[in-house]
Amino acid sequence: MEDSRKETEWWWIDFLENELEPGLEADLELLLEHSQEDRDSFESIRLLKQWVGESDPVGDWPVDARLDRIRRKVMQAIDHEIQEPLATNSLRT
Amino acid sequence: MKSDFELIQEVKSGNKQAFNMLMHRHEKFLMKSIVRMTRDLDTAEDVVQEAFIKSYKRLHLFEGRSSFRSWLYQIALNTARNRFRKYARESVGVENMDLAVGEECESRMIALDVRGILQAEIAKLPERQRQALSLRIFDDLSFKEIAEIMQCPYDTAKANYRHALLKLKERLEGNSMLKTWSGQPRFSLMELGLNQMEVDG
Repeated sequence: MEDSRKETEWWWIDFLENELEPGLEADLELLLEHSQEDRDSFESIRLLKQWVGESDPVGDWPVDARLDRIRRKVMQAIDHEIQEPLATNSLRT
Repeated sequence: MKSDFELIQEVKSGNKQAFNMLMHRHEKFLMKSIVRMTRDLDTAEDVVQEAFIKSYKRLHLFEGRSSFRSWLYQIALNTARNRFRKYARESVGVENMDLAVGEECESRMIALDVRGILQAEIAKLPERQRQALSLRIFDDLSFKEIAEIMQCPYDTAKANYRHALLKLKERLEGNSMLKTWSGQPRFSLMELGLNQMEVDG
């Protein structure tokens, strides 16, 4: 019973993330259409993901203000301190 | 728009400005990820700067087997770990939050609690699960990129994410303060304007 519930929850997560195996998608859509319990289950996972996203501890930290300075310093280092950065390197990728 | 791969080729051919463009493209993601880890802007700035310089020096080692972003993230992660091995990850407890707001409406207070509880519960997750959750939800990475960063198979990255989400769900459902979580009202933290609040001090 517990295993079955867990498996269903995994499916809902995959459904939410667009990671579901193609064959299962139609089945889950049917469940959503006809089962209140499954709708609640899916909704609670969807809502949890949303809340986690909104709870980002640094979501509103002012990181943008630092980015120009970082880029400038890195470019300075590249220009002045790193003499031959990619010397002897091949163009292999 | 040039791909990362094309820009990397240009850098390897001696065009330093192409590296500037690569930084532009990935700096915000990198900075946010590292700030999330260090919880300190100055420290994160140093780490990101060092990581970019290292990545430039090592660009000839980049073989394109993973995305540039995940390769860069790995360098930043190692840089942070090496420099701040002693840094104890700070978990945000509800007790540290500014709850002394008498005029707050009840729903706003509940949302503030939810956010604090969520942060605390996320901090308690096993490291791999927390990392997968963070990379997926906060950084919006694909499971392929998460697998590259975590250096594990695709399915393992996904399993870590699923375990994290379900563990959080279980803990929140068991939290008496969060009875509204699975019932009504189903408000959004964002709608309540929590983004404007200084929760983290």
